Amino acid sequence: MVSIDLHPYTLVVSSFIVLALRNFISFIGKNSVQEFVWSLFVKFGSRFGVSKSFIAYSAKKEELHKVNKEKKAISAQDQYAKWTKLNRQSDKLSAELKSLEEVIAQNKNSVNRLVGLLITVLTTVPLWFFRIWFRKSVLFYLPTGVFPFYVERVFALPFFPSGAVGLTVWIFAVNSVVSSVLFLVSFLFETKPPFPELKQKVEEVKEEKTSSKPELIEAKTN
Amino acid sequence: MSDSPSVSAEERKRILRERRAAKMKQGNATNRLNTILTQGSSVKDVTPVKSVLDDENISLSRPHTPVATTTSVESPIAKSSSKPKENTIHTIHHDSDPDHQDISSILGANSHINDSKDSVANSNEDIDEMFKKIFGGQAPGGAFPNLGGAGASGAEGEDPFAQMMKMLGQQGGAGGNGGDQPNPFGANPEEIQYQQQLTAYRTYQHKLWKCHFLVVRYLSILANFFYHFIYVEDSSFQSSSHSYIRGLAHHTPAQSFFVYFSTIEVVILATYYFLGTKEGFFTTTTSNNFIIKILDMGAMVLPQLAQIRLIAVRVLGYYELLAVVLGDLSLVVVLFGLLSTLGN
Repeated sequence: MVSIDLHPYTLVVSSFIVLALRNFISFIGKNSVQEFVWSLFVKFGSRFGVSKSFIAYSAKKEELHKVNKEKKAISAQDQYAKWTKLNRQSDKLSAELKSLEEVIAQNKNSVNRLVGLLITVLTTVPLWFFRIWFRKSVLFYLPTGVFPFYVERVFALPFFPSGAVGLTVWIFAVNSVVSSVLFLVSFLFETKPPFPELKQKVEEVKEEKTSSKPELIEAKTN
Repeated sequence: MSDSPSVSAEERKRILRERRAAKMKQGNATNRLNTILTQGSSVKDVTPVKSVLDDENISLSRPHTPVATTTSVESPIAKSSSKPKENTIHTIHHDSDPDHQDISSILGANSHINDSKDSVANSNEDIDEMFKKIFGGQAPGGAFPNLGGAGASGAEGEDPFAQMMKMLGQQGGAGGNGGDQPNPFGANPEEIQYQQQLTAYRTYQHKLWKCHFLVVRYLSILANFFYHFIYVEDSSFQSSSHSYIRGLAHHTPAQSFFVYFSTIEVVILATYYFLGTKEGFFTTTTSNNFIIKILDMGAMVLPQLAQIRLIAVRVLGYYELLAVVLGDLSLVVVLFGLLSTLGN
């Protein structure tokens, strides 16, 4: 069996980075990351010749816009031949645009798949690797006397000696801290909702109803 | 009907009407009616009936069928009616609508409706008793009994259906000082909107308090940690990836760190519990919990689940306090872990 030996310092730092990245991506959302990468691809991809379909698409769209403008400017009855020619041109451009849209959609799907794969490789696979290969490795030892024995036993779960901290407790602790920090950061951007006020009209209607009840009772008795 | 195409639709209708009238004049309506009723494979036992066309005056006395008694109609083409209209049905000519409806017949019919109302009232009472048996043991819950009365309010003196609606309304996460939450199903749109806005406001307030507490907790723990890191000499407050650190004898043990840590935790937990009870945070949190929602739904069928729900709400409330302690300990572990990398 192949044995991989990593220094505990490497494990601590790399697992911390991976967990922070994973929490950050789940916080902002995988779709947001994919959209961001796609926008970068659209902006820089055509410059480096990665995809020429964007240039062709924008050119054809501009041409279609011109043709439609010219077509609306003339009368179909008065200049029938020219109108028909422009109409055929417009239909052809629309068909070409449609095919280009399909190509672009395929490109987008490919980019999204690639980004998803990258996210999985960077965040999920390393953690599983660490959990399988280094499940019995001690990451670090706590100084003696700082914590009581029962607290050190909790930190040493599941099967480490007292005072040692393993991957399980470390992953739990990092997840907890990172999610708390992200909660703090997200709350800064949250807007305060106004204190709700029930409209007075409803209260007035209720008051009217209660005030009219004695009159009805009097009418009935009379 | 082999009418020529030139016959108009109106003509055709007139012809059909005349044929129908002629057939009715022939009589034998009862036999025709019974023939229709006894046909068909789904028909089982059909008692022979008498057609209204064979009788000119039929009087029905049916005290518990108000529908029949209210259909007395005055029509100029009506065949006969000798009396004022209580409990009488006039034969109605199918081609004409009544011009006026005799109000005395309606008033007379209402007396029969009132008779039927007593029996309906009796059945309503039975239904009420049944509901009380089903929902009688339940109370719309809160986290703690002294948490502003979410668990103790409103349950007494209300009918079971209103209680059920109140429970469903509380599931929307309105939380807070409970008994005055209106029924969302019976409320107008303004009240529903008000409830939604109130829920959003309370959730924001809860988050705001959580945020403040988090900042205070983290700052106090960081201050405590770095104070000991800076001022404790030798390696009493150092973590390492090497096991020798556990065997070192320290001249100045850093036990004060955990003392300060425990003191800070006790103060924070007490304050959090006090404010959570006062502001109803625990109710807001537990009302949105998946387990509580399942127990609420199950309690509609099994009233015994209401007791379990109260226990679950209490446990979830205490779990939130435990989560505070675990979160703080996690920060200490992370700090020691990052500290251990400095020595390498």
